Amino acid sequence: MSDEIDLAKYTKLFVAEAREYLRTLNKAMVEFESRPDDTDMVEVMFRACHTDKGMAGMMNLTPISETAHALEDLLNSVRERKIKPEGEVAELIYRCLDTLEEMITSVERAEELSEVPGLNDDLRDAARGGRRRKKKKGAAVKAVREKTLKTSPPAKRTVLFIRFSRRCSFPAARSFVILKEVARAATIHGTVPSEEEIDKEHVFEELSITLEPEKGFDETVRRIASMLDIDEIKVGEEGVPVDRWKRIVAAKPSAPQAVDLPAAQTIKVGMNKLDELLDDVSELVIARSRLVEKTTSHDDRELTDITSHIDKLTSEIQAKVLGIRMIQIESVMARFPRMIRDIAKNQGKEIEFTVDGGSIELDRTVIDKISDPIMHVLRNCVDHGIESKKERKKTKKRIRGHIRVVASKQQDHVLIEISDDGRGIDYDTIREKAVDAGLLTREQADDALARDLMELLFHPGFSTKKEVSQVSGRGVGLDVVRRAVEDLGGSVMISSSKGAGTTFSLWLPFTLAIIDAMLVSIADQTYAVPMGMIAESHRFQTSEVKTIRTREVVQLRGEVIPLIRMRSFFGIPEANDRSTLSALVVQSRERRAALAVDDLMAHQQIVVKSLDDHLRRVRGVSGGTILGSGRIALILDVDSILEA
Amino acid sequence: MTNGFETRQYIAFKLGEEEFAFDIASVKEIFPTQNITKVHRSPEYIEGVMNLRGRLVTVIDLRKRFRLEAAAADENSRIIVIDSRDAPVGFLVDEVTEVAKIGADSIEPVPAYVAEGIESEYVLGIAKIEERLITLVDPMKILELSSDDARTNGGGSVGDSPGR
Repeated sequence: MSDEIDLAKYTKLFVAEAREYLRTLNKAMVEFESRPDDTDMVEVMFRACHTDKGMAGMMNLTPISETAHALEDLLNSVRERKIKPEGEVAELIYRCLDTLEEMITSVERAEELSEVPGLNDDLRDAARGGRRRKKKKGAAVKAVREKTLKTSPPAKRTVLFIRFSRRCSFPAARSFVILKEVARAATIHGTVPSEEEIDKEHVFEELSITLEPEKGFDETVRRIASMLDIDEIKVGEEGVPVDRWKRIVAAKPSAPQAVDLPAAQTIKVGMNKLDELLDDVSELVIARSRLVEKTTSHDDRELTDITSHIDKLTSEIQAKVLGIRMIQIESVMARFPRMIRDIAKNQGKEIEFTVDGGSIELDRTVIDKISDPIMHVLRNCVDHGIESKKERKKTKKRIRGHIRVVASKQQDHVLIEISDDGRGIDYDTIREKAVDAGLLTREQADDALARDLMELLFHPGFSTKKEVSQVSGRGVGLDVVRRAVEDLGGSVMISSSKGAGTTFSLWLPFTLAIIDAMLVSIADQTYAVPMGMIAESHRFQTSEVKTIRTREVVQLRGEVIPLIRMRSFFGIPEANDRSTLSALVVQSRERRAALAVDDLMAHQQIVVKSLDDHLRRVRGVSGGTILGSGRIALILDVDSILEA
Repeated sequence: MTNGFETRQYIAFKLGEEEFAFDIASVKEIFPTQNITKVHRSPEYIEGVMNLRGRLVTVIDLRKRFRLEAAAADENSRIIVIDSRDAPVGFLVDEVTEVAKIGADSIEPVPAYVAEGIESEYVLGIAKIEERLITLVDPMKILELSSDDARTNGGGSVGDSPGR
């Protein structure tokens, strides 16, 4: 196998995983700091730290595994209530987490890793709380190991047998590291499983290497023995019965039993593979609708059966592929508690951060793209929203501010509300700023309504903060937030009341790829309307259309709703000779309207394709899809039509 | 190579009586006009979108883009697809005439005055071949200017609040 490529592959995997564990650690630490009695948090941290150590050990990244080990010891002392995670100890833990983050970044950049002088000692000192205990035990273990190793392996054709522990999550990666080690001190004749099989990442628990030992082989075996996740190493001569081989490692002494994680029944798949799969499924969905169309024009019983079977299977495959891509919102949130804590601390504020509805899932592409916008909003809340402790005291608020994220499902959207209980938005300040920045004249500013003033907050380069701070207040942020969210087909709204806080509402689609839609025709062209926006379809008599002021309306079960004729929306002359109007009653958030179209055609799943830069800003359409016939149906953008 | 001057190949096409050409290197494919889906409310020079092997490709009517007199597409009309930076884009032209080999020595710089309606920014030069005058155009430049347009003129939604 080619060393560089493989190592790079596992390194990437390691970096991604290690970052995830670090986020968990940071998040748990922030929570633990605010609720020191919550021993569950220590468990969470302990486990994350332990796994991190294991992974680093597996990759032979000694500085990381050593530091993680020292942190694990410290956490153990916390768990046993020997020390409290406050003040200096807490700072030390955060410092350690930052160091680990830096080390992981170095690994990612393929830089040389080095230990941070003193940190591990500091951690161990803190863990001991004055007593010397661990050290001794560690030394004893080492001595035992060395003694076992004195019985050196024979110098002929030798077999090195390694059994991995069940906890070992990537035996292939581990084997790879081992083979590299062994190759330095022996000639390898063969392995079971073969290198090819290892490369394909088959699941296995045992590895045998047939080899001819060279100088330094003992040392190599010792190094392998010190790796984690190995239950047993045996060395023997070819042909000699296995039970007479020498055992080098019987069992691992270090890891406490409590952290034995159940072996996860999961595999890791690269996101690009899922993207490719989704592309194929999209093609399949289009081919399926062509097949269905064709079948209906043939009177063939067998063909109909086959088609309906394929139809059903396609739907299932599609649902599953989309399902695989769904990720919990929680996964983006994990990085924020620490960020908020640090900024708050820096500004002398105290902030509690909570997340509700973190288990709601969104498509991976959506998740990837909202992470930064959410971070901008949160920074805004910390920086502009929550007041200083002094100010809060003066206004008789709870000293500790609260930033809350609530995610919920709404029709075909996910709503993420981010609120703070801070000072709220001061409209007069916005007015002043707008005039200063030359965005509004004095008169315009005085006349401006709240929602127009809110709108200014999204203006590039607009900031209400008096001084430019390190965090936000440079005017970068909210305009970026809006653009990112709108690019996803979502929208942002701010509401605020002075003194009581501000809420940012982000409306996001679940998925971007395949949606349910109603096909309609408007002036001989086919359009698709996302089902999630449709409340119902209805046929109105033209005589039912009334005019209120200049706008046409219809009544549906007593409710008066605006009528939007799609032909006139698109600037196409109306067909006059109609006595009825086919309409879709659409709904977006609180707004409803009846969209009059020429005809309702069919309900179908469509693959959403984007329009390029020339057309992205056109109102009324948000994208397109390719129908079974190869023709294009544009997707109606209900939001922008309702705004008109 | 002729007389030490570099010769390049160009796709020559007609808009009305005038002849233009794109450097062949920038041209990806040429299609007869097929189903083009009209996009209402788009900038006027956009003819619509077409399905290019599963992708939605914007088609620009070059007559309108150059502010020449409009004309309906017929069987001679062609769509020249250019591979632009982020996505392929099609240009609707009246007729593709030939692949012309044009030596650098027969290309004149852009005169101070240019054909009416054609912004001098697109024009790379004027080639003289016997009695014909062919205006060499940079398709990328047209696209750059078109997208800017689409953003400022067609972008009515930019300043409006999504929250109302």
